[in-house]
Formats: sequence, structure tokens, C-alpha cells
Amino acid sequence: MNKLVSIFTNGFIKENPLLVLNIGLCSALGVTTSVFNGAGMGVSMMAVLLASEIVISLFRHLIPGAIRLPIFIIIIAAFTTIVQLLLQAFVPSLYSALGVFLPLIVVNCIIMGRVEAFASKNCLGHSILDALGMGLGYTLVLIVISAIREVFGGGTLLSGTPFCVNLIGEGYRIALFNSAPGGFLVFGLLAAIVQVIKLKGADKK
Amino acid sequence: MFFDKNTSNNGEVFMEMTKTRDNLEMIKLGAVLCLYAVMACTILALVNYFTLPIITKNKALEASAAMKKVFATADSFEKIEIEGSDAISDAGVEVRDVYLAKSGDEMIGAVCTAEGATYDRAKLIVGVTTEGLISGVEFLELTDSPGFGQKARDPAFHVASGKTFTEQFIGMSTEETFIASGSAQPSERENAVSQKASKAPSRYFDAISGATITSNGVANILNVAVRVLNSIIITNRTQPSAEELTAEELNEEALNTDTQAPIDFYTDDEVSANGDRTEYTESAGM
Repeated sequence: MNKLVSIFTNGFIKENPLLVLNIGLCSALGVTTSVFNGAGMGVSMMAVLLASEIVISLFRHLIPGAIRLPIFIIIIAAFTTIVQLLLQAFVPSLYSALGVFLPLIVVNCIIMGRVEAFASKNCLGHSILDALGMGLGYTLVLIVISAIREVFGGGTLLSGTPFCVNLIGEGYRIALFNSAPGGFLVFGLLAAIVQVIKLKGADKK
Repeated sequence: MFFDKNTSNNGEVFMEMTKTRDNLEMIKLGAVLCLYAVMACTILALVNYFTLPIITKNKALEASAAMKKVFATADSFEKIEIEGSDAISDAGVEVRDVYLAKSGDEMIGAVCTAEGATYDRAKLIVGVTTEGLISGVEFLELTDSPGFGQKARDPAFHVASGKTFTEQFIGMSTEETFIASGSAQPSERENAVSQKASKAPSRYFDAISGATITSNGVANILNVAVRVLNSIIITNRTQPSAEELTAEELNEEALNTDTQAPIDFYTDDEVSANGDRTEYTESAGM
């Protein structure tokens, strides 16, 4: 049981794909200008990650080692396209907000990395837990970054949903947070905070 | 038997057999890859089959909802077929999906979509009434930067007059070309739209501070769209029967059509009640 819990929580702090492993960064910085976009991206990526890890874990003995990377890409690309079509049909607002970053999930290093390092070598149950843990870790970080950038840069919270609230007046918004430098800034600060948490945790042990 | 073939010793034979085995291995790998690809594509085709009708319906609904937004008083829209191609191009702007706005049987204006360059690209839907006033402008697509050009589409963003960016166009006359106020080089803007239109006086609208390129791009798109719509309205104007038309009304119509820039496209002979649409598309190439 401990092993299962540790696999699941791995993706939150200890091996958070964005803040610790530093993979999958471009999508994280590109779409986090609002919480709706960030959460939507996180959920889409988690869906593709989960589906890919499940399929590859099921087929892991049927994938010849020499061509495993092309086969991984075929599977990941198929699921990304499926998610894309479903979003376009059922949540068109999110589809147009994510724009080009949705098809870019195919080359998101997190999915390729986890599939290669974990799903192709572990059983189905463990792979599902890993996918959920990594996906949730990714989504949570995205939501935190988006919240900070949206509140300080756009002044709103949850714009794009029916629950949008205006928190900061137009004159007091900091435009830096809307663009790339602001994204890097917030990301760097979060990575530093996670490092502190990890070091404190190591100290206790 | 193996050893009699063109070989002199066991070592070379072994290499021959390994090469064949390698080739077989490669073919096997290729076949496995092909199999995975076929399976993936089959599943994709299935998902596409089920989502395609929903997606096309969404797009159509979005377009007609947008048309209603720019022309609230219309209750139906009639598509105008543009002969020759499916878009009219001018000054880097593409105009398509031209519809007549109708209230009952009467044409009260026209709408179209117009796409052109802003900071990135923008697709607008524009409506003009038969009186030559803008009935509404909406963004269908806008890929400019959030916090800058994207503000043009933000309902919470207001320009100097207190209205949103697209609201400020409602009711504006289309006699004059549009220019974003606060834009650095208004003369450059006038060169971007056609020579003839630039002789008309210019109508200033509030630009977005920090998004001059977006504002100028929108001005250019609007100018082209409005010229197309005004021409369409003229060629499709329903004529009242002879008894109803007094000399006064005839004179008034002549005066009104003189001041509208698009009329420059036509000679006096070509302006007629039953103007042929093909005449418009030929002169659109200017």
C-alpha cells in the first residue's frame, strides 16, 4: 500500500515534472495567462497521459525495443488528436483558447518521459497511479501559475467561465505577468519554493 | 548443401545468414509499426466520424449567432454567392460569407466576415445597414497577444468613450474611411486602403493604447469589409414599384449614392436597379 501511495504522490513534490524534473515547460508557460486555460490544459494533458500510459503498459511486452519510440509517438499522437476532436466538439471555448498548444501535447516531454521511464516497464495498476500523480502535479502547478498571472496581469479570476470576477482595477494591473518574462518569474519562484520544501523534508529525515 | 554456395568458409556463410536474418527482422519491425499505425488511425477515424457533425454544427451556430449579434434587428440571413471564387480580396483582407440581413422579406442590410492581418490575424464579422451605418462589429477570431491586442475582444475593456472596443463602431457612418485615433502615421493608413477611398474624409475611432498595430489592422479590415457590403447593398437594393417612387425620392437616392465611396467603382451606366453581381467581382480586382 505504501508503495502505491508513494507512486501516486511522487508527481506532486518529490518528482514534480515541471518544478523538479523541469520537463514539459513550454506548454506550462504558454497557456497560463488565465486559470480556465491553465486548468483546461492540465486536464487535457492528464487525459492524454493517462490513456497513453494505460495502452503502453498493456502492450509493453508487444512493443519491440528497437522501434519503441515511434510506436510511443503514434499512440500519444492518436490520443492527442482524440482529445482535440472531443474538445472541439464539446468545449469549443477551451479549444480556441488553447490554440496551438493542444496539438503540442504530442511532444510534451512529460508524456514521452513517463511512458519511456515508467509505463513501458511497469504493470497497469502502477502506471495508472503514476499517470494520475504526474498529471495532477502538472495541473496543480499550472493552476497556481495561472492564478498568479491572471490576478496580477489581467486583474480577473476565472475569466472565460461564468464565474469571472474582477479583482484589480485596470490601472493597477502589472502587464509583465501577461507576457513570457512574467511567466518565467512566477515559475522560478515556485521552483525555489518547492526546493525549500524538499530540503526541509530531507532535514527532518 | 549450404556450404557449396559461393562461399569459401563457414564464417562468410554465417555473415550471409545473419544478413538475411537482419533483413527479415527489419521487415518484421516495419510490419509491427505499420500495424500500430493502422490501429491508431482506425480509432481516430471512428472518433472523427462521431465528432465531425457536432463540430460543423457548432461552427455554423457560432457564425449565425455572431451574425445576429452584429445585426439584432434581422430575423433571417440570405447567403450571397460571390461568382468566381469564394472570397473577395483587397488590401490584404479577405471577405467571405456575405449575407443579406432581412427583416421579413425586406433587406435591411448586409453582413460579411472579413479576415486580415492585425498584430497576428483577426477575423471580424461586420454588419452595415441600408442607410450606410455600421450595425455591429464582432471578433470571430483574434490571435493577438493577451493583455495587448487581445483586449479588443475583451468585454471588460473599455476605450476612452466608455464603450467596449467593438461597441464604439455601432451607428458610425460608413461614408468615411476608418482610422484609429492615436495611430502614429495616419497617412500610411490611408495608403493601405484603395486610392479612391482615401479621398473620402476619415472617421476616427478610439485605438487601444499599447496595441496600435492591432487597432490599425482592424481599421484596414473594416474599411475593406464596409466597401464590399455597401456595394452588395446597392446591387441588391429592392426597388419599390414605379408609382411609389416620386421624383423627390429618386433625387434623394442619387444624392445619397454619390457620397458613398464604393460608388466610385461604377460608371453612371453601370448603376442600375438590377445591377449584375458579376460586375462587382470584376472591379473587386482593383
